[in-house]
Amino acid sequence: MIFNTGAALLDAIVLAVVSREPEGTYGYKITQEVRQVIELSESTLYPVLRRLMRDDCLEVYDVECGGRNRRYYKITPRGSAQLKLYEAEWIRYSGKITGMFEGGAGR
Amino acid sequence: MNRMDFMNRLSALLSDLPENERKEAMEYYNDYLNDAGVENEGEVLEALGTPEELAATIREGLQDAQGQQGVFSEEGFQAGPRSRGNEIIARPQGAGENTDAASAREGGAAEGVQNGPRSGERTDAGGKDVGGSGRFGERRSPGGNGAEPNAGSGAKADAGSGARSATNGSGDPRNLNRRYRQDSGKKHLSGGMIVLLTVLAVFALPVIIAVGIGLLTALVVLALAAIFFTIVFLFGGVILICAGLICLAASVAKLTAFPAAALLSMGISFLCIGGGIFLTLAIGWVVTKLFPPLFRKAADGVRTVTHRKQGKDDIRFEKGGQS
Repeated sequence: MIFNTGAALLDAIVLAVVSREPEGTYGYKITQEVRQVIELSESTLYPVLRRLMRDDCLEVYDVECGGRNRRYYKITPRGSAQLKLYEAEWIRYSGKITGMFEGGAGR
Repeated sequence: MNRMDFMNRLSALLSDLPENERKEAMEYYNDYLNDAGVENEGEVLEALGTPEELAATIREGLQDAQGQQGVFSEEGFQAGPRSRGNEIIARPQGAGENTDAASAREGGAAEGVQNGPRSGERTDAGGKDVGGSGRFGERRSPGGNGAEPNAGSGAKADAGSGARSATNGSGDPRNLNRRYRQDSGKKHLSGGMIVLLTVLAVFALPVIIAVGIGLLTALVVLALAAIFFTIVFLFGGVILICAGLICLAASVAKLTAFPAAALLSMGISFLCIGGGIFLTLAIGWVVTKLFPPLFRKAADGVRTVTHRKQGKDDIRFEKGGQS
Protein backbone atom coordinates (compact mmCIF):
# COMPACT_ATOMS: atom_id res chain seq x y z
CA MET A 1 0.00 0.00 0.00
CA ILE A 2 1.42 3.39 -0.83
CA PHE A 3 -0.48 5.26 1.84
CA ASN A 4 0.79 4.96 5.35
CA THR A 5 -1.65 4.33 8.11
CA GLY A 6 -1.33 6.90 10.86
CA ALA A 7 -1.75 6.06 14.49
CA ALA A 8 -5.25 7.54 14.64
CA LEU A 9 -6.47 5.57 11.66
CA LEU A 10 -4.99 2.38 13.03
CA ASP A 11 -6.69 3.05 16.36
CA ALA A 12 -9.95 3.52 14.50
CA ILE A 13 -9.57 0.28 12.56
CA VAL A 14 -8.71 -1.69 15.68
CA LEU A 15 -11.65 -0.21 17.56
CA ALA A 16 -13.93 -1.07 14.65
CA VAL A 17 -12.66 -4.65 14.56
CA VAL A 18 -13.07 -5.11 18.29
CA SER A 19 -16.50 -3.48 18.35
CA ARG A 20 -17.82 -6.03 15.86
CA GLU A 21 -17.54 -8.66 18.59
CA PRO A 22 -19.88 -7.87 21.47
CA GLU A 23 -18.19 -10.51 23.58
CA GLY A 24 -14.73 -9.26 22.75
CA THR A 25 -11.96 -10.82 20.74
CA TYR A 26 -8.29 -11.68 21.16
CA GLY A 27 -5.00 -10.37 19.90
CA TYR A 28 -4.29 -12.88 17.16
CA LYS A 29 -7.76 -12.59 15.69
CA ILE A 30 -7.69 -8.80 15.81
CA THR A 31 -4.36 -8.81 14.00
CA GLN A 32 -5.65 -11.12 11.28
CA GLU A 33 -8.77 -9.04 10.77
CA VAL A 34 -6.88 -5.77 10.65
CA ARG A 35 -4.53 -7.37 8.15
CA GLN A 36 -7.46 -7.96 5.85
CA VAL A 37 -7.79 -4.22 5.27
CA ILE A 38 -4.32 -2.82 5.80
CA GLU A 39 -0.88 -4.27 5.57
CA LEU A 40 0.52 -4.59 9.01
CA SER A 41 3.32 -6.53 10.56
CA GLU A 42 2.39 -9.19 13.08
CA SER A 43 4.14 -7.42 15.88
CA THR A 44 2.57 -4.01 15.45
CA LEU A 45 -0.70 -4.42 17.23
CA TYR A 46 0.51 -4.95 20.75
CA PRO A 47 1.48 -1.31 21.37
CA VAL A 48 -1.81 -0.20 19.82
CA LEU A 49 -3.94 -2.45 22.00
CA ARG A 50 -1.94 -1.44 25.00
CA ARG A 51 -2.45 2.24 24.27
CA LEU A 52 -6.16 1.83 23.66
CA MET A 53 -6.40 -0.04 26.92
CA ARG A 54 -4.62 2.69 28.79
CA ASP A 55 -6.99 5.22 27.26
CA ASP A 56 -9.96 3.20 28.56
CA CYS A 57 -11.11 2.55 25.03
CA LEU A 58 -10.66 -1.17 25.49
CA GLU A 59 -10.99 -3.41 28.47
CA VAL A 60 -9.50 -6.85 28.88
CA TYR A 61 -10.55 -10.02 30.54
CA ASP A 62 -9.09 -13.48 30.58
CA VAL A 63 -11.00 -16.49 29.35
CA GLU A 64 -9.98 -20.03 30.05
CA CYS A 65 -9.42 -21.69 26.72
CA GLY A 66 -7.93 -25.09 26.21
CA GLY A 67 -6.15 -25.18 29.53
CA ARG A 68 -4.72 -21.71 29.32
CA ASN A 69 -5.89 -18.17 29.67
CA ARG A 70 -6.58 -16.17 26.61
CA ARG A 71 -6.81 -12.41 26.91
CA TYR A 72 -9.91 -10.92 25.37
CA TYR A 73 -10.30 -7.31 24.37
CA LYS A 74 -13.66 -5.63 24.51
CA ILE A 75 -14.71 -2.14 23.58
CA THR A 76 -15.75 0.24 26.35
CA PRO A 77 -18.37 3.00 26.12
CA ARG A 78 -15.54 5.47 25.78
CA GLY A 79 -14.06 3.36 23.02
CA SER A 80 -17.39 3.34 21.22
CA ALA A 81 -17.65 7.10 21.49
CA GLN A 82 -14.12 7.43 20.19
CA LEU A 83 -14.90 5.10 17.32
CA LYS A 84 -17.94 7.17 16.37
CA LEU A 85 -15.76 10.24 16.25
CA TYR A 86 -13.21 8.47 14.12
CA GLU A 87 -15.89 7.26 11.76
CA ALA A 88 -17.42 10.71 11.38
CA GLU A 89 -13.99 12.23 10.88
CA TRP A 90 -13.07 9.57 8.34
CA ILE A 91 -16.19 10.16 6.31
CA ARG A 92 -15.51 13.87 6.29
CA TYR A 93 -11.86 13.44 5.44
CA SER A 94 -12.18 10.74 2.80
CA GLY A 95 -15.12 12.57 1.28
CA LYS A 96 -13.03 15.68 0.87
CA ILE A 97 -10.20 13.79 -0.75
CA THR A 98 -12.51 11.87 -3.03
CA GLY A 99 -14.16 15.13 -3.97
CA MET A 100 -10.78 16.59 -4.75
CA PHE A 101 -9.88 13.66 -6.99
CA GLU A 102 -13.18 13.65 -8.82
CA GLY A 103 -13.28 17.42 -9.14
CA GLY A 104 -9.76 17.34 -10.54
CA ALA A 105 -10.69 14.67 -13.08
CA GLY A 106 -13.77 16.54 -14.27
CA ARG A 107 -12.00 19.77 -15.01
CA MET B 1 15.50 -19.79 16.25
CA ASN B 2 12.67 -21.77 17.77
CA ARG B 3 9.88 -20.41 19.88
CA MET B 4 11.52 -21.18 23.19
CA ASP B 5 14.75 -19.40 22.26
CA PHE B 6 12.79 -16.52 20.80
CA MET B 7 10.76 -15.93 23.94
CA ASN B 8 13.74 -16.34 26.23
CA ARG B 9 15.74 -13.88 24.20
CA LEU B 10 12.80 -11.46 24.18
CA SER B 11 12.40 -11.78 27.93
CA ALA B 12 16.08 -11.05 28.42
CA LEU B 13 15.88 -8.02 26.13
CA LEU B 14 12.96 -6.62 28.07
CA SER B 15 14.43 -7.39 31.46
CA ASP B 16 14.97 -3.74 32.32
CA LEU B 17 11.32 -2.87 31.80
CA PRO B 18 8.94 -2.71 34.76
CA GLU B 19 7.94 -6.22 35.74
CA ASN B 20 4.26 -5.82 34.86
CA GLU B 21 5.00 -4.34 31.43
CA ARG B 22 7.40 -7.11 30.61
CA LYS B 23 5.01 -9.77 31.79
CA GLU B 24 2.12 -8.30 29.86
CA ALA B 25 4.08 -8.11 26.64
CA MET B 26 5.42 -11.63 27.06
CA GLU B 27 1.96 -12.95 27.74
CA TYR B 28 0.58 -11.18 24.71
CA TYR B 29 3.08 -12.65 22.30
CA ASN B 30 2.90 -16.02 23.98
CA ASP B 31 -0.87 -15.94 23.49
CA TYR B 32 -0.34 -14.78 19.98
CA LEU B 33 1.84 -17.74 19.12
CA ASN B 34 -0.57 -20.10 20.83
CA ASP B 35 -3.50 -18.70 18.88
CA ALA B 36 -1.59 -18.86 15.63
CA GLY B 37 -1.32 -22.59 16.17
CA VAL B 38 1.63 -24.91 16.12
CA GLU B 39 1.45 -25.33 12.36
CA ASN B 40 1.91 -21.58 11.77
CA GLU B 41 4.45 -21.10 14.50
CA GLY B 42 7.49 -20.87 12.31
CA GLU B 43 5.79 -18.50 9.93
CA VAL B 44 4.58 -16.20 12.71
CA LEU B 45 7.97 -16.22 14.41
CA GLU B 46 9.42 -15.18 11.09
CA ALA B 47 6.86 -12.44 10.73
CA LEU B 48 7.51 -11.11 14.20
CA GLY B 49 11.07 -10.40 13.18
CA THR B 50 14.04 -10.83 15.43
CA PRO B 51 13.56 -10.62 19.20
CA GLU B 52 15.56 -7.40 19.04
CA GLU B 53 13.10 -5.84 16.60
CA LEU B 54 10.13 -7.00 18.60
CA ALA B 55 11.64 -5.65 21.80
CA ALA B 56 12.15 -2.32 20.03
CA THR B 57 8.49 -2.31 18.96
CA ILE B 58 7.38 -2.98 22.53
CA ARG B 59 9.63 -0.25 23.83
CA GLU B 60 8.34 2.24 21.30
CA GLY B 61 4.87 1.41 22.48
CA LEU B 62 5.85 2.20 26.03
CA GLN B 63 7.51 5.43 25.06
CA ASP B 64 4.57 6.77 23.16
CA ALA B 65 2.89 7.44 26.46
CA GLN B 66 4.85 10.64 26.39
CA GLY B 67 3.86 11.74 22.93
CA GLN B 68 3.03 9.18 20.40
CA GLN B 69 4.14 9.90 16.94
CA GLY B 70 4.70 6.71 15.15
CA VAL B 71 3.59 5.58 11.79
CA PHE B 72 2.37 2.08 11.28
CA SER B 73 3.24 1.03 7.81
CA GLU B 74 3.78 -2.28 6.15
CA GLU B 75 7.27 -2.30 7.58
CA GLY B 76 5.81 -2.17 11.07
CA PHE B 77 5.96 0.57 13.59
CA GLN B 78 8.18 3.41 12.60
CA ALA B 79 9.13 5.54 15.44
CA GLY B 80 8.70 9.19 15.36
CA PRO B 81 8.93 12.03 12.96
CA ARG B 82 12.27 11.14 11.46
CA SER B 83 10.91 8.85 8.83
CA ARG B 84 7.60 10.60 8.49
CA GLY B 85 8.86 13.93 7.26
CA ASN B 86 10.15 12.46 4.05
CA GLU B 87 7.75 9.67 3.42
CA ILE B 88 4.35 11.25 3.55
CA ILE B 89 5.19 14.67 2.41
CA ALA B 90 7.70 14.07 -0.31
CA ARG B 91 5.65 11.53 -2.19
CA PRO B 92 2.59 13.41 -3.36
CA GLN B 93 4.55 16.18 -5.01
CA GLY B 94 7.41 14.16 -6.43
CA ALA B 95 6.24 12.87 -9.78
CA GLY B 96 9.38 10.86 -10.22
CA GLU B 97 11.46 9.04 -7.67
CA ASN B 98 13.27 12.06 -6.35
CA THR B 99 15.76 11.83 -3.62
CA ASP B 100 14.64 13.47 -0.42
CA ALA B 101 17.16 16.22 -0.68
CA ALA B 102 16.09 17.11 -4.19
CA SER B 103 12.41 17.18 -3.44
CA ALA B 104 13.00 19.28 -0.39
CA ARG B 105 14.56 21.98 -2.54
CA GLU B 106 11.85 21.95 -5.11
CA GLY B 107 10.71 25.51 -4.85
CA GLY B 108 8.35 27.73 -2.91
CA ALA B 109 5.06 25.91 -3.24
CA ALA B 110 6.58 22.67 -2.19
CA GLU B 111 8.19 24.37 0.75
CA GLY B 112 4.82 25.62 1.85
CA VAL B 113 3.34 22.18 1.75
CA GLN B 114 6.14 20.83 3.79
CA ASN B 115 6.14 23.45 6.44
CA GLY B 116 2.60 22.93 7.54
CA PRO B 117 2.84 19.40 8.74
CA ARG B 118 6.38 19.81 9.91
CA SER B 119 5.72 22.37 12.55
CA GLY B 120 3.14 20.00 13.94
CA GLU B 121 5.71 17.31 14.11
CA ARG B 122 8.14 19.45 15.92
CA THR B 123 5.60 19.94 18.61
CA ASP B 124 5.44 16.25 19.04
CA ALA B 125 9.16 15.88 19.11
CA GLY B 126 9.26 18.47 21.84
CA GLY B 127 6.62 16.62 23.76
CA LYS B 128 8.55 13.46 23.59
CA ASP B 129 11.64 15.07 24.95
CA VAL B 130 10.02 16.28 28.07
CA GLY B 131 9.23 12.71 28.91
CA GLY B 132 12.91 12.26 29.49
CA SER B 133 13.76 10.03 26.58
CA GLY B 134 15.88 12.74 25.08
CA ARG B 135 16.14 10.92 21.82
CA PHE B 136 15.03 13.73 19.63
CA GLY B 137 16.94 16.37 21.43
CA GLU B 138 19.13 17.26 18.50
CA ARG B 139 16.08 17.56 16.28
CA ARG B 140 14.49 20.19 18.33
CA SER B 141 17.29 22.66 18.44
CA PRO B 142 16.76 24.01 14.93
CA GLY B 143 12.98 24.20 15.12
CA GLY B 144 12.43 24.51 18.82
CA ASN B 145 11.23 28.08 18.81
CA GLY B 146 8.76 27.56 16.05
CA ALA B 147 7.21 24.69 17.93
CA GLU B 148 6.63 26.45 21.18
CA PRO B 149 3.54 28.46 20.38
CA ASN B 150 1.96 25.34 18.92
CA ALA B 151 2.55 23.33 22.01
CA GLY B 152 1.11 26.09 24.11
CA SER B 153 -2.04 26.32 22.08
CA GLY B 154 -2.36 22.57 22.14
CA ALA B 155 -2.38 22.63 25.90
CA LYS B 156 -4.90 25.44 25.95
CA ALA B 157 -7.20 23.69 23.56
CA ASP B 158 -7.05 20.67 25.79
CA ALA B 159 -7.88 22.52 28.92
CA GLY B 160 -10.88 23.90 27.14
CA SER B 161 -12.14 20.64 25.81
CA GLY B 162 -12.25 19.33 29.32
CA ALA B 163 -13.54 15.86 29.79
CA ARG B 164 -13.11 14.79 26.21
CA SER B 165 -16.80 14.41 25.80
CA ALA B 166 -18.01 12.98 22.57
CA THR B 167 -19.84 16.12 21.57
CA ASN B 168 -16.90 18.32 20.75
CA GLY B 169 -15.82 19.71 17.46
CA SER B 170 -13.70 18.58 14.60
CA GLY B 171 -10.36 18.27 16.31
CA ASP B 172 -11.73 15.68 18.64
CA PRO B 173 -10.50 12.37 17.35
CA ARG B 174 -7.01 13.49 18.18
CA ASN B 175 -7.89 14.32 21.72
CA LEU B 176 -6.57 11.06 22.97
CA ASN B 177 -3.21 11.82 21.50
CA ARG B 178 -3.13 15.23 22.94
CA ARG B 179 -3.78 14.12 26.41
CA TYR B 180 -0.29 12.77 26.73
CA ARG B 181 1.20 16.02 25.70
CA GLN B 182 -0.73 18.09 28.08
CA ASP B 183 1.98 18.03 30.70
CA SER B 184 4.69 18.76 28.25
CA GLY B 185 2.62 21.58 26.88
CA LYS B 186 2.77 23.32 30.22
CA LYS B 187 6.41 23.86 29.67
CA HIS B 188 5.75 26.00 26.64
CA LEU B 189 3.27 28.37 28.22
CA SER B 190 3.51 31.69 26.49
CA GLY B 191 4.49 34.81 28.39
CA GLY B 192 1.00 36.32 28.23
CA MET B 193 -0.50 33.17 29.65
CA ILE B 194 1.94 33.22 32.55
CA VAL B 195 1.12 36.84 33.34
CA LEU B 196 -2.57 36.07 33.16
CA LEU B 197 -2.20 33.12 35.47
CA THR B 198 -0.13 35.16 37.91
CA VAL B 199 -2.74 37.92 38.02
CA LEU B 200 -5.44 35.34 38.50
CA ALA B 201 -3.51 33.71 41.28
CA VAL B 202 -2.98 37.03 43.05
CA PHE B 203 -6.67 37.85 42.90
CA ALA B 204 -7.66 34.38 43.99
CA LEU B 205 -5.16 34.33 46.84
CA PRO B 206 -7.48 35.59 49.64
CA VAL B 207 -10.13 33.09 48.66
CA ILE B 208 -7.63 30.27 48.44
CA ILE B 209 -6.17 31.17 51.84
CA ALA B 210 -9.61 31.38 53.44
CA VAL B 211 -10.72 28.08 51.95
CA GLY B 212 -7.42 26.51 52.89
CA ILE B 213 -7.68 27.63 56.51
CA GLY B 214 -11.27 26.42 56.63
CA LEU B 215 -10.37 23.02 55.26
CA LEU B 216 -7.38 22.73 57.56
CA THR B 217 -9.48 23.61 60.60
CA ALA B 218 -12.12 21.12 59.62
CA LEU B 219 -9.48 18.43 59.19
CA VAL B 220 -7.90 19.20 62.57
CA VAL B 221 -11.28 19.19 64.30
CA LEU B 222 -12.17 15.89 62.67
CA ALA B 223 -8.87 14.36 63.70
CA LEU B 224 -9.21 15.63 67.27
CA ALA B 225 -12.76 14.34 67.47
CA ALA B 226 -11.65 10.96 66.22
CA ILE B 227 -8.85 10.78 68.79
CA PHE B 228 -11.15 11.99 71.57
CA PHE B 229 -13.83 9.43 70.82
CA THR B 230 -11.26 6.69 70.52
CA ILE B 231 -9.90 7.48 73.99
CA VAL B 232 -13.35 7.85 75.53
CA PHE B 233 -14.53 4.57 74.09
CA LEU B 234 -11.33 2.79 75.04
CA PHE B 235 -11.49 4.06 78.63
CA GLY B 236 -15.21 3.47 78.71
CA GLY B 237 -14.68 -0.14 77.74
CA VAL B 238 -11.92 -0.69 80.28
CA ILE B 239 -13.91 1.05 83.04
CA LEU B 240 -17.00 -1.01 82.24
CA ILE B 241 -15.03 -4.24 82.45
CA CYS B 242 -13.41 -3.19 85.75
CA ALA B 243 -16.71 -2.08 87.25
CA GLY B 244 -18.37 -5.31 86.14
CA LEU B 245 -15.58 -7.40 87.71
CA ILE B 246 -15.77 -5.49 91.03
CA CYS B 247 -19.55 -5.75 91.05
CA LEU B 248 -19.29 -9.46 90.30
CA ALA B 249 -16.89 -9.99 93.17
CA ALA B 250 -19.14 -8.03 95.56
CA SER B 251 -22.23 -9.96 94.52
CA VAL B 252 -20.44 -13.31 94.89
CA ALA B 253 -19.52 -12.28 98.45
CA LYS B 254 -23.19 -11.51 99.19
CA LEU B 255 -24.47 -14.67 97.51
CA THR B 256 -25.19 -16.44 100.80
CA ALA B 257 -26.70 -13.44 102.63
CA PHE B 258 -29.03 -12.12 99.88
CA PRO B 259 -29.16 -14.72 97.11
CA ALA B 260 -31.79 -12.97 94.97
CA ALA B 261 -30.18 -9.52 95.11
CA ALA B 262 -26.76 -11.08 94.56
CA LEU B 263 -27.94 -12.94 91.46
CA LEU B 264 -29.47 -9.74 90.07
CA SER B 265 -26.27 -7.77 90.59
CA MET B 266 -24.24 -10.65 89.14
CA GLY B 267 -26.37 -10.47 86.03
CA ILE B 268 -25.84 -6.74 85.84
CA SER B 269 -22.10 -7.12 86.25
CA PHE B 270 -21.98 -9.71 83.46
CA LEU B 271 -23.83 -7.25 81.26
CA CYS B 272 -21.28 -4.60 82.21
CA ILE B 273 -18.34 -6.86 81.40
CA GLY B 274 -19.91 -7.91 78.13
CA GLY B 275 -20.56 -4.30 77.16
CA GLY B 276 -17.02 -3.36 78.11
CA ILE B 277 -15.53 -6.18 76.05
CA PHE B 278 -17.70 -5.20 73.09
CA LEU B 279 -16.62 -1.56 73.32
CA THR B 280 -12.97 -2.50 73.58
CA LEU B 281 -13.18 -4.86 70.62
CA ALA B 282 -15.08 -2.30 68.57
CA ILE B 283 -12.56 0.40 69.24
CA GLY B 284 -9.77 -2.07 68.58
CA TRP B 285 -11.32 -2.83 65.22
CA VAL B 286 -11.68 0.84 64.42
CA VAL B 287 -8.09 1.57 65.32
CA THR B 288 -6.59 -1.37 63.45
CA LYS B 289 -8.89 -1.65 60.44
CA LEU B 290 -10.48 1.70 59.82
CA PHE B 291 -7.71 4.13 60.59
CA PRO B 292 -4.82 2.75 58.56
CA PRO B 293 -6.64 3.06 55.23
CA LEU B 294 -7.76 6.54 56.17
CA PHE B 295 -4.21 7.51 57.01
CA ARG B 296 -2.99 5.91 53.83
CA LYS B 297 -5.47 7.89 51.81
CA ALA B 298 -4.53 11.09 53.55
CA ALA B 299 -0.87 10.33 52.95
CA ASP B 300 -1.58 9.60 49.28
CA GLY B 301 -3.40 12.89 48.98
CA VAL B 302 -0.50 14.75 50.46
CA ARG B 303 1.89 12.86 48.24
CA THR B 304 0.03 13.73 45.03
CA VAL B 305 0.12 17.37 46.01
CA THR B 306 3.82 17.32 46.74
CA HIS B 307 4.54 15.29 43.63
CA ARG B 308 2.74 17.78 41.51
CA LYS B 309 4.88 20.47 42.96
CA GLN B 310 7.97 18.46 42.24
CA GLY B 311 6.90 17.96 38.66
CA LYS B 312 6.56 21.68 38.17
CA ASP B 313 9.96 22.23 39.60
CA ASP B 314 11.42 19.66 37.24
CA ILE B 315 9.93 21.38 34.26
CA ARG B 316 11.19 24.70 35.32
CA PHE B 317 14.60 23.25 35.82
CA GLU B 318 14.57 21.74 32.37
CA LYS B 319 13.52 24.95 30.79
CA GLY B 320 16.35 26.74 32.52
CA GLY B 321 18.77 24.15 31.24
CA GLN B 322 17.77 24.61 27.66
CA SER B 323 17.79 28.32 27.28
